[in-house]
Amino acid sequence: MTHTIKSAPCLLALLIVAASGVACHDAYDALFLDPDKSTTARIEYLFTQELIDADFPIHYGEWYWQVYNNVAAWAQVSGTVNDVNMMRPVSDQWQNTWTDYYTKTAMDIREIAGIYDTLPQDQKASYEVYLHLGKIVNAFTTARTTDLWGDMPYSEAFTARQTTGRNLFPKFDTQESVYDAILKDLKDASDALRTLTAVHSALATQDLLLKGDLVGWRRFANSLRLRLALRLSEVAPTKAQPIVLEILADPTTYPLVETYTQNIAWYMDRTWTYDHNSLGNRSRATSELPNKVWAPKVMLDMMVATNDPRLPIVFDRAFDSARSYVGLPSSPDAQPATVDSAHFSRLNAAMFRNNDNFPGWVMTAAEVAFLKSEAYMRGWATGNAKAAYDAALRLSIEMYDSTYNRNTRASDVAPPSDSVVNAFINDAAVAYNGTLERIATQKWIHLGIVQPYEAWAELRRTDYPVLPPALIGGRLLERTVRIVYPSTEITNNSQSYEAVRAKDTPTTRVWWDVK
Amino acid sequence: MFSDAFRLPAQISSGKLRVNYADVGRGGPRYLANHVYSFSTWDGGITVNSFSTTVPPLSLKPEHKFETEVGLEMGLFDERWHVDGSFYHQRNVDQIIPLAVAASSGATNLVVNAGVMTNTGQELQLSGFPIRKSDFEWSTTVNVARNRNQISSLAAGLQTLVLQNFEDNLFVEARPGQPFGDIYGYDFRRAPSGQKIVDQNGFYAKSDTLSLVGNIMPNWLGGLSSTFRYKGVSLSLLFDLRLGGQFASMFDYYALATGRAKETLFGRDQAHGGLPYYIDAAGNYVRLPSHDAIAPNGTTVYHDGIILPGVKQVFDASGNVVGYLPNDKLVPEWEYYETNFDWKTQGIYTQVVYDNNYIKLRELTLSFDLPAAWTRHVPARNLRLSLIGRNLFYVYKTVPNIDPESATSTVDYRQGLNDYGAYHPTTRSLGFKITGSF
Repeated sequence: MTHTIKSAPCLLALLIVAASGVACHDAYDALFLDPDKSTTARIEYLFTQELIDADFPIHYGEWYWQVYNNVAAWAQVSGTVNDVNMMRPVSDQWQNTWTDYYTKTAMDIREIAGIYDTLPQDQKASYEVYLHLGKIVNAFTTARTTDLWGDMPYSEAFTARQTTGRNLFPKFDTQESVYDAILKDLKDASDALRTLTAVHSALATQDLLLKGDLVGWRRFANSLRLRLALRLSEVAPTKAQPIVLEILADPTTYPLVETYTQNIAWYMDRTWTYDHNSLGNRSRATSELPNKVWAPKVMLDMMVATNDPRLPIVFDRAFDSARSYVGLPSSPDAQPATVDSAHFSRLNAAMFRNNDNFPGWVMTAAEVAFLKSEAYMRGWATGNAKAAYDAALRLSIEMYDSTYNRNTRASDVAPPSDSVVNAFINDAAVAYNGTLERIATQKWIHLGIVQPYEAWAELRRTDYPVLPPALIGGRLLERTVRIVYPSTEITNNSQSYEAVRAKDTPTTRVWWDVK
Repeated sequence: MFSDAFRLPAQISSGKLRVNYADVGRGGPRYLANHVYSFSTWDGGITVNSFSTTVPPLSLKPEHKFETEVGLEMGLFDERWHVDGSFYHQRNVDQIIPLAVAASSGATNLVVNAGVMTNTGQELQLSGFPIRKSDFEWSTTVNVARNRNQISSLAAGLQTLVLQNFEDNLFVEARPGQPFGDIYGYDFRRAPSGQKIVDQNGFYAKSDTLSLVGNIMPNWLGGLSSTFRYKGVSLSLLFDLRLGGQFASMFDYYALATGRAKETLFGRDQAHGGLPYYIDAAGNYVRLPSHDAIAPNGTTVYHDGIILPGVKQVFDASGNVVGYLPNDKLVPEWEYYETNFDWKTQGIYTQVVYDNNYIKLRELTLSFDLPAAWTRHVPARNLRLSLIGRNLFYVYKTVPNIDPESATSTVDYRQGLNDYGAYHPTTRSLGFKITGSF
């Protein structure tokens, strides 16, 4: 009892101090920190967060909405039951993509750079590696963002967490200047990694993508730079060609992703949390959207006609008595009232719907080989376009096969025999013929629903394959070729938005889409 | 007491004029000003650091409320009647708010001192005894209050502060020059005549732009209490009144979407006004002349067709709208609810913004004073037995299906909305009470 009475004045004093703490005087700030959080962060921990935020495997909600409800239908990489709204972007969902990019993914590298600047000199050498790897990831996510929206705030963006020089109303930069910036970042990062002398000891643990394999990171950077340079083939060939040449002429300085084992992928351990592994994202969305995961008619018909060895692991047969492959046309007018699995094929269930081990493919050797083939075909670098194209097809078959066999819930399929693969590569409708249409069409099949954002971007750049128009009641539904800016950006950055307002429609092409 | 200072007419037995001025300061929630990182562990035991997309303040002042109140109290007819009227004006400055900013700045919100909001209101209360006799007495109190609110300014460059966002389709906002708590949503698309446009599929078309569809704050609040006493029996009634403002009922949205609300009965079958139709080979819904009609080739006849009231657009060859005709497209009733009450896509959330007016019998008390003769063995005096009922029923309400007081909260903007977790109605309580003195 006496004890309680004695401590009462102390308690009272404590209460008074606590109450005055809310005045936010600097001196009190230090006394009243949230005990569950920290005022400092570590670069290596932020780097892992950046990799996670980059969302390489694409998370469940984005598969559900942005991919299966929009991009898959627009790029016809999945057969979707469509109506009058098929060309309408699910705007509020795209707003999440935009916001996550600006406030998380892209901020992680800025935060890393800020902390790096304050490091003691003796630590800078070993931590430097994170700056370069962070830039590569940033180039990847920035390219994905600008390919969706076109012009975007970039040079003046990302300042909200700064204590000085905050700009809450960043201007919209042209897509060209955004591309210039990230192409330069990729070259700088690749060059810097080549000559780096010290590497932070935690990198191998924290690097969830490549386990600290710096040659792998250089391959990623160079392959991404090649991809982005060729994206400019139609709008700025004079800018693109020297970049392509620089990379392809010097494989020692600029190694690329060239073999199956060099593929860049986000491998999700099956022991990971449901939300973090392939069952919780791609497979979940695929199984929840039975009407968005039919076999797209154009792609399926091509694969059937050419005896594509990937056909049985990409699509299931219809359940009719003939067990046939039947694709769903994309145009609402061409779709029957009842679309059911008796009459139509779906995406292969073991591959896409039940796959507990589907990696998030980031950059594949097959895609790089297609890029090389196109560069040689254009005469932008010296090399055998046909050999690169054939290699691309073989690498793609290998990648699809292995992706299927990673599934632990389905029995493995044997790889197709050489004779089957050769017959496919030499099929009259597949064999290299020196045209962009041939390369782009096969690349579209390769990227497909595995890398839907890339499939859509390349379709917009090349306009191949030629897809049938979407009609409803005989009326044409104009194709969506970009995403409109999110309403939060329009509301909260209205002055800057005025400069791009006129271009902000789903049917206005982005800068590189001139064909 | 101006009745002490001035000589007043005989009817005014007392009078008081009061004037108040106050400046009330308030800090923000604790840890608000911390610039911090979270630690968490990714699968496989890998540590990660992350940070909030709300940026803490660089410097923060307490917010202030400056309030001026002028009130007049008067007792009339020998204090049999009392009148109390007041007028107030509040000016809230430096409000601590998580300001929404463009994501391109690198954050979704900044915590700042921003915004000036004013409240102006009047309150009037009249109480007294309409009847006061020795055996019978009727006392009553009537009060009405009105509050007008305006956002004078938000932070520089800020055009709106979103207070609540329902599935990116319905927003409660504060916009400068507007009252606090305006509701914006994507409404029906309408023809120039104001009629709802029905799309090619036979469902209501949804607007691409936000429109103002209401405000969650009330215009008038009032109460009426009366007590009737006859000898030892008394009856008290308390009514609450609310007029003006709207309520956004997410509960109702999903009750409609899933067919659980009674409004969805219409059209469900022949008995509820459903129209007969069959589905042809191309998948079109084809209306039949009667419920007894037989569809071609013995196709199944359905009886749950409806034709939504509205107009359809007429297009010319190049796809321009050249006119409107009454909608004649039949759709199954269930498909209408699946479409126009859908999660986000085609769901028109403004349909569940209802006017929020009500009169509620808040409390009823019936009391008996037990005669002293009955209780002479009880060691207590003035024994009184009361039956009390609270939250009894609404005499009148405009929000369907739910109790408008089952809001997310009873304060600020949340009083005018509910979400999915907070729709339990307020409970009715019945009780009795014995009081006495010793």
